[in-house]
Amino acid sequence: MNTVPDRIERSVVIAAPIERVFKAISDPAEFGTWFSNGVEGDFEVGSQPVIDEGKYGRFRLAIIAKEPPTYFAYRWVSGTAFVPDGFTSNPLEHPNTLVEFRLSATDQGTEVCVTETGFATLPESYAAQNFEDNTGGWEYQLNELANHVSA
Amino acid sequence: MSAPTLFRALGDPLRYTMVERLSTESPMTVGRVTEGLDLTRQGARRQLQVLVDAGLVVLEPKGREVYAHLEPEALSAMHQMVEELTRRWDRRLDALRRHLEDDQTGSGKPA
Repeated sequence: MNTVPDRIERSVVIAAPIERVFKAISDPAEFGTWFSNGVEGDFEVGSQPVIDEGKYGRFRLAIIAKEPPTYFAYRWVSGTAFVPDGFTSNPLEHPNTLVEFRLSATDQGTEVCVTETGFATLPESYAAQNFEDNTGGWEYQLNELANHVSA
Repeated sequence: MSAPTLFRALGDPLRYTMVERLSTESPMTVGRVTEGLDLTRQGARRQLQVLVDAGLVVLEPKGREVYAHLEPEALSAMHQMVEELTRRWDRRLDALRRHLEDDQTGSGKPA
C-alpha cells in the first residue's frame, strides 16, 4: 500500500437503545468511565474539556457537534506518535483530527460508527478557519472536509 | 524520521498533492510533481524541500532533470501509526459496548 493513510473507520453493534448509547458518548460523566479516567469540563458545542487517558496522557477536545441521538463530533490532537504525553493546548490551533460518532438504530440495538480523519491533510490554518466558521454550521465544515479529503 | 514530522510535513494541501502524485508514479520529474500548483518555481522547490527534510521525498539529479521519489519507509511509519490508533479505537468501542451491555440489567438480553 503506497498511499498516505488519512482515515480510520470502526464500528460496533451494541444491544442498547440509541438514546442510551448517545448519552454514554455525549455525557462527560459517562464518557469518563469507558473512554477515559474522568473528564474536566462539559461536552457542549464550542467547549474544550480535558480527558484523562491514563498511560496515553491528558487530551483537550474541541467539541464540534452534538446532534442527539445520531451524531457527536470533536477535534483533538491524537496519537502517541505525535504527543507521547498527551496534548492539552487548544487543539484547533494545531494540526488536529476530527473524530465523529454516527449512531443508527438496528434490529440488534444500535450501531456506532466512529471515523477519525485528517491525519494527512489538515493544515493549521484550515483548522483555525473551521473554528471561526463554526457558527456557520458543522455541515458546512464536514462538506469542506469531505471535499478536501477526497480531492 | 518520526511520524509527527511526517504528518506535519503533509499538513499542507500543496505538499499533500505532491505526495499523492508521487504515490501514483515514482520517480517523477520535479517539474511534473509541482506543475499546475499555482506556485512560483522557487515556491515549489521550497515546498518540496519540506518533504525532503522530513524524509518523505528523495531528490535525484539525472542528466538535466531532477527526479523525485517517495521514501517507502516514511509511508510505512505513517501506516504503522494509523494501525496503532485503529487498534486503540477497537479497544474503546469494546469498552463502550461492555459499559452499556453490562448496564442492561433485567433487559432480558444476555450480553
